Amino acid sequence: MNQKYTHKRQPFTVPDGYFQQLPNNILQQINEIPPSQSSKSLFIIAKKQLALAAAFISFVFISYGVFHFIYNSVKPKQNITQQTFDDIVLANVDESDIVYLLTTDIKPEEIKPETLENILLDETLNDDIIYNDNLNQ
Amino acid sequence: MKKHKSDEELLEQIISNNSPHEAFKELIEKYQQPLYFHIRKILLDHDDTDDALQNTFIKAWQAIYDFKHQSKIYTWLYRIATNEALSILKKRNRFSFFSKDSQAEEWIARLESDPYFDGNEADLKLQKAILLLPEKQRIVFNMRYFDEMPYETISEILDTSVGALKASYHHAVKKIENFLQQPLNLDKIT
Repeated sequence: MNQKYTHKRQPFTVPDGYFQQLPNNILQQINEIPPSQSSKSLFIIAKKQLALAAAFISFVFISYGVFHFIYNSVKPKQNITQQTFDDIVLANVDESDIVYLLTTDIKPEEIKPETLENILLDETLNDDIIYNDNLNQ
Repeated sequence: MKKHKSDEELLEQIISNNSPHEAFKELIEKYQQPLYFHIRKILLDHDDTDDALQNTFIKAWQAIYDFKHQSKIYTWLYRIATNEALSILKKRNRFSFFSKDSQAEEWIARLESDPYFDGNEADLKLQKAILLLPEKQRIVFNMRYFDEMPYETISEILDTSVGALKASYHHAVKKIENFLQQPLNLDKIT
């Protein structure tokens, strides 16, 4: 026979003995689980702080991106003119030329611009790069 | 009838690790019936209700140290139970391609053959009218109409303002009365 709930307008019933057995059924399941201390993950503890940190990092990245976008779109050629002589040479000169220059007996003060030009003006180096405005700075 | 300790005494016993399982069992015994019928009115089916109720108590046990004293244990447990019931309801609706009306018909047919439903034709018609309500109105109507819960308590459980709850309840009553084509017996619970 089913147990009827006592509320005057409740049409729902439960199986016999359901409420007598339920506490023990639940206790069987939770017996192996310690109360919350162990279930408190770092995420739960520091959720607010992590959210703030994530928001701050996102803000920094977005600001950086926006700054670079605006900077590059306003002054597209400025980055090129800031390139140093070293950058251009290292990117275009063959390593063997540099080794030759460093190991040769010629002292640095004795190297004339034309000599240096002859050494570097190998197949690998483009004339345009040598004679562009950057080298005049 | 067994006299239960107060919620504060039981919570203290659990947190101070003084026979915590025994204290938690007492907490279950104290609240299992109101929580069961609260969930059952949302889900209608006994097996789903049993799952949701067991999950409610297991989650409460796992989070009992996180319990903030900003609310009562009673409202905290109701909140967990409501969320559990709603998540089962969502899963159920996800796999249903039928309209709300067809779903209500299907559930009424299931209730008619449910051995744990002891209602008459009027009860079935009322359940169908409730099933046709939007989710939130349904829950508010059940808590107010059947459990006669104060709006302030419902407000704490559902995290909704009293004004919004009164409006929800009012709309729910009107819709149900329209469906039943007769006024509901509201006693003193308007």
